[in-house]
Amino acid sequence: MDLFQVADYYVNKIVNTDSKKISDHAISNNQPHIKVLLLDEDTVETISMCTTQSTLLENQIYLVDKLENQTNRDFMRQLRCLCYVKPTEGTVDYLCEELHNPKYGEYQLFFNNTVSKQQLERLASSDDLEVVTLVQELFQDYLIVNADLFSLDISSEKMFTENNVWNFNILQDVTNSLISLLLSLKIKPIVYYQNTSNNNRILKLAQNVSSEINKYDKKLFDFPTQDSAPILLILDRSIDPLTPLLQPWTYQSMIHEYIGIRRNVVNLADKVADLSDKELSKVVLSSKQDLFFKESMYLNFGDLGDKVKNYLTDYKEKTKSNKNIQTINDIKEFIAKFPEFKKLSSNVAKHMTIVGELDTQLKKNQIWSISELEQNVSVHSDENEDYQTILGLFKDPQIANFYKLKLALIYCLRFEDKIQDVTNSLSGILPPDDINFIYRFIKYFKKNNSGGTLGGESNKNDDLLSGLAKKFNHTLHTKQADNVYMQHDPELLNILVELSQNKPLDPSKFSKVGGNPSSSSTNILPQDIVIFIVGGVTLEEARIIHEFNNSAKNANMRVILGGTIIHNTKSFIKECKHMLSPNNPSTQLTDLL
Amino acid sequence: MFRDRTNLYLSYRRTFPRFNIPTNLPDSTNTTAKEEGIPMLDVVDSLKQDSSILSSPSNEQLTMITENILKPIDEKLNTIDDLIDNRLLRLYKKVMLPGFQDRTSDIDQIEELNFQIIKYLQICSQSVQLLSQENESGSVHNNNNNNNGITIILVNLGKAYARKIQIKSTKFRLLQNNYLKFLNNDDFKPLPTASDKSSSHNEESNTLLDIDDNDDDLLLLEQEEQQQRGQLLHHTSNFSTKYLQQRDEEITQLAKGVLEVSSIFKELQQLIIDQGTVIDRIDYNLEMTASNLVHAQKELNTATVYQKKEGKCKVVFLLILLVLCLFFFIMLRPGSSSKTVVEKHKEFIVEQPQQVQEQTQEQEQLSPQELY
Repeated sequence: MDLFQVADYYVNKIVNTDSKKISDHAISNNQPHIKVLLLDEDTVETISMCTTQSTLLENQIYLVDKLENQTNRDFMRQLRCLCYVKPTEGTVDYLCEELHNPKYGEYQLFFNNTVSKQQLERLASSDDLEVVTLVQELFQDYLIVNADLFSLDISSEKMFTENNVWNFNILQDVTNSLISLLLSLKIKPIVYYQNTSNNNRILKLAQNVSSEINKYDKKLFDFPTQDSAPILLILDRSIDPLTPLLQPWTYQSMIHEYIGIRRNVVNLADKVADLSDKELSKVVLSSKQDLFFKESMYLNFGDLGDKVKNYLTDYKEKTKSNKNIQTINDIKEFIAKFPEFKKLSSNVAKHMTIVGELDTQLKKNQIWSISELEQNVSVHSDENEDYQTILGLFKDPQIANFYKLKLALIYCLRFEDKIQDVTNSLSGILPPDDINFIYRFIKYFKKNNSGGTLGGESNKNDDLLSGLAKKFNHTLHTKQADNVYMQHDPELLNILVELSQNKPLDPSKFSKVGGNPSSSSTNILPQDIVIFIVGGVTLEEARIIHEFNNSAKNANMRVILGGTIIHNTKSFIKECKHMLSPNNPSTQLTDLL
Repeated sequence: MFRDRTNLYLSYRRTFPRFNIPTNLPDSTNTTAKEEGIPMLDVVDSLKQDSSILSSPSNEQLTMITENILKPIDEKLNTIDDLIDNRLLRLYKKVMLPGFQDRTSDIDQIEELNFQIIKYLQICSQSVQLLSQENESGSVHNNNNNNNGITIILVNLGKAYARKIQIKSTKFRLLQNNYLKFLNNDDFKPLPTASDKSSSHNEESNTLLDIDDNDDDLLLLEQEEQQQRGQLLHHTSNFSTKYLQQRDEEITQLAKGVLEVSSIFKELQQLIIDQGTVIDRIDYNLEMTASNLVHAQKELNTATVYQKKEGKCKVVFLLILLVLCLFFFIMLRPGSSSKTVVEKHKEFIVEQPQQVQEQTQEQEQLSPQELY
């Protein structure tokens, strides 16, 4: 259940295929053969997030190009071409064209999802010269961010149509991606979905996925049965709107919040003003290739500071040893160390710039005080003190409107009855659109979270004992509650804790596809769990998953988290604004009702 | 997991009739019968050959490069691997183990091996440089961006092989370093012993000289003297050959050291170049090539525009020159120089009949004289 392992397996599969042509074989035994790799727009991203150019070079792939780029490629018939594409109609069209007029001597096709028989037939019909010698389906139709986090990189704006129902094509894409994930992990799960969401869109996705699983039951999902059935849990973002609103404090999530990570690439050029080194304008942050990042990505900002400091002193020591070169032996040693040293120095420079930028951003926007307040509001029960400080912050002209809006949203999510007071105090500060947005936002998420855990009042429904138990668990599983900036725990943690205690999923919140909820209560602890959040995940939740997977108590459980997109606070609010905009007919209707 | 759809694909492909297969290949049916999975193999191959003959020379260049440059490099790298893994490592282990027997032969062998490996590494790096030269010459020859793929391939090949060589050489150097460290720890310092030897030799020679002096002073019998001198000569010559041998060894060692240093510097150069440029991201590189392509296209367009303009410019320039010439001609025509020419001409024309007249007069004058 490690996504990087899966990716490595697939990349090896692509890269190490042998030529099928016998004539080639005779020559190629002792000759270095040059291979060409053709990718399409989707696979460029999937593959570049899990392997590097030098690995490809090591495996004799000396030319990488895009399938779409048909005019600029040369005819090189003596070369072998590996095609790794997503089986969409567009790419199949391109492939047909390519096969009709082949530029290379031999083609080996790899698809990153199931390819339909019609598509295969079309390809076969255009393959006049019989250049294709291999067709394989690999299942990696998703972007791997961390070892236990994947993303589909589809924004909600595209995902849903005007009426907040699924755009049909996107629904199909999401379903296929989920199927490919399940296939790549070799699990055949029971599909659970959150039944409290609106529009039945989660239900629809869950049904689609499970029907696909049934469709491929014999052909693909032919895995040996495990002791405990794996679980695929499909959630809606509305289950926890609070987490994406809070300022995050781990390294990875902070980079995403303040600078922005897109497919492991951090673009520093337009963020950092005084960038001395051109090479640093775009840096790659991959937990797979960058060991320091792997170690520090889940650290909070304080621990990160120590870590970076240690890293720097290490580096300084190494530079010192490089300074006194006098004899040939010194030179030899220097040469032996130099590549590593160079790597280290560029890495140090990279992380230093990023951390420096984070620090300036934090100071500029007064994040320290804002975040403390946010955390207090989201965790503590109603305290007048917090409310007063919020009002004070609203009046502070130094703080950007965005953070005021966010604070208001958090406060209102927690204490719905105070919404009137908050909006009144904000009326002169924020534009009226934003004030309206607060109302809509609260209404939308309160409605969809009827059984939710947001406000204090929902807890009243539970009896005293279970409430106490919950609180107890809460304190048990949150050891870092002493950190003021990370007091709040995402809702996801509660679900995980319940699952790890072998409790059946709460039937009032989650139901199983194709079965009555009562029969689902098995007594065996689920081992493999895939959680998919429609509407985006946050990196804060990814940290929770990572910690859960790494704790010794849950050694026999593996959880993988995924989402349609990876959110930071800005993108989340932007998306909500879009979704709840007054032009959107469905929300208008529900507002009226 | 994955699913192989090749057989399904092939079965689909068999159902489609082929129209554009060249029919002038009689053995195509035979091959289909022979190789079930991959029918019409020879067709494709022959097509391939045709196309490679028909296609640009750059393709031939590529095959030539793989044949002539890459193959030898691979072979050399393999032999280096073999040398390091099988022989050098074993020898190192043997020498490093404590023991009483004489190890000088082993040490000599190690040195020889080192020298060989360094030589191979150098050859390899030279051939990689050859690759880049080839690339440059290729790009000079075909300055259209048609064979962009080839240049990319060549650049990537260069990078990959540089990396391979680098890995090998670092491995080798690490081994060597370990060995040297062991030697130093063992108080087995080669340099001081050498100097000790030489100093002792110096002392010896000094004593010899002293003996010589003493001999001169004593003035013994000639025979004895001669004998002694002969002995001495013999001794000194013996000693000098020894000395020379030692010097020779030292010099060769120095030469080896110089070679090593030079190889190190070459590596250093290459290291800096390669480390500086390799950005390990597939999509980045792709984007870069795409943008470079666009850029190149632009440049080419401007270049063609310039070239077209050049022709026009030439014509215009010529016309302007012509006009200028004509203008000067016209300007200068009514001037003095042309006048004088015309006048001179006139004078000449006028003078000529005069001369003729004079001549005739003379003749006329002469004729009466003759008559007289």
